[in-house]
Amino acid sequence: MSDPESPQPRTFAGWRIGFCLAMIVVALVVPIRFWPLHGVLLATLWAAHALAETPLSYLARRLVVFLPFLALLAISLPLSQGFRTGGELAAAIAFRGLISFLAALWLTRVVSFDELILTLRKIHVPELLLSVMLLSYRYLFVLWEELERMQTARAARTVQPRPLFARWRLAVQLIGMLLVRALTRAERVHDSMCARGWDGRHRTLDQDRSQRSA
Amino acid sequence: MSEPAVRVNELSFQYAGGPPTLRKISFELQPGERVGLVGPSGAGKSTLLMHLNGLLPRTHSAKNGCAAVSIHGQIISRETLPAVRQQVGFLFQDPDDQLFCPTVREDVAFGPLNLGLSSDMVHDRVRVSLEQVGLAGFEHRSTMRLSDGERKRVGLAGVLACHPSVLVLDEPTSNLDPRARRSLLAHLAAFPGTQLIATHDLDFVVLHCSRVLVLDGGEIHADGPTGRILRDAALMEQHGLEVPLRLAAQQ
Repeated sequence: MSDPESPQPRTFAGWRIGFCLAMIVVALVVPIRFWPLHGVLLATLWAAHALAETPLSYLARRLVVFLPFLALLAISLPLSQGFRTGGELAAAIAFRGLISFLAALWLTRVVSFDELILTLRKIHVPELLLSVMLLSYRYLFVLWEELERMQTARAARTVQPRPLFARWRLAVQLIGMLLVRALTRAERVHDSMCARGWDGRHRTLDQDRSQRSA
Repeated sequence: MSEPAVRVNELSFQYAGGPPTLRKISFELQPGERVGLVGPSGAGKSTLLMHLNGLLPRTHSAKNGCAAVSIHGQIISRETLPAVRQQVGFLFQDPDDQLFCPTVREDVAFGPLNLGLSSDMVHDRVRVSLEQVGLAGFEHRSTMRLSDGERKRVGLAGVLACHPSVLVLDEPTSNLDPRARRSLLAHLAAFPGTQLIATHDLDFVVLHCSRVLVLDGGEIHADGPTGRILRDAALMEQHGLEVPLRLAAQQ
């Protein structure tokens, strides 16, 4: 994300968020039989990524992780319905998923998280939702660092390569431990919020100013 | 004698399913007093500190005894919690627990906003608190892009911005380099209110506190002047501690 320390939203942050949402909404509402339009959306997003100078390797790394999940979803849903709707449903899931993913990825390239929050606050997105987004973003990195520390500690005590199944089992254990630690962390953060007088209502400086001027 | 800033009276506590963590703890802190709380890991230091801010509400239930903790004569209860938390500033051991807002300004403003102050007053408090801890100009910095020492100081600024009369600090010098530790010591020395500091950094206690409580196994085993308590090698040894280097060198 660009320029995360900027306190004010850039002029075009709102337009960029609007463009991203518009692409996703159009992809969701246009039936898949108008597939050329979906093609146009994909081409537009490709051009938008090119303008944002998104490195191909950046896109490829994320698509490698995302596409198998999307493919699984695109196949399993029609299968669960006995494939009555044929490939149409599968294509709809695949196109819409891909367009939404590329649009969201583009947004993270051109709008910093702070700009995103400030813009959403400007258009009166509920404060509770923004608080959840802020806390998630803040602690994502803390938990990521915690995961890296656990991985390092595990690697330091691994003397020889383990078989694939054992590696998977260890990874699952690691994720389980991370969840437990995330819960403990959440309790401590809640304690620290209570210690500074939090009563369940989220207050912000900007909110206070707007209430006074109203 | 004036009303004590903190009075703990026969406080006992145990976590659900665990052994007793605190057993009939009693002590008083006078206004302006700086007291070190020392003891081995697992002695119950952090649990005791959390009681002073009402973070473990079961203490004032009938089951665990009543009126166990009072701040400036005000007994901690569900009704008095907001007023008590305004009086007692709690600095957590891990700054990542304390700094949850995206920017320094928002985090320091969190407490004053909860006190219901106007935005102008909050802005003033944020500015003054950051100046007090030597971080003027850090308002728009991200809380994720600070060093350990800076995060500790921002946490302290967030506590000071609520204008507490009692500071409760849990391991304030952990993970700090000598310069950051010295800087924190200077900022704490400038705070005129009562301070209770749980720490393993005994040299810090020698420099900063006039009195020491030794907590071990949920009980207070010694309470007295810093020099006398921390010079007692047998007492220190008995409770998993040691005479601080600064005092050992003088002996």
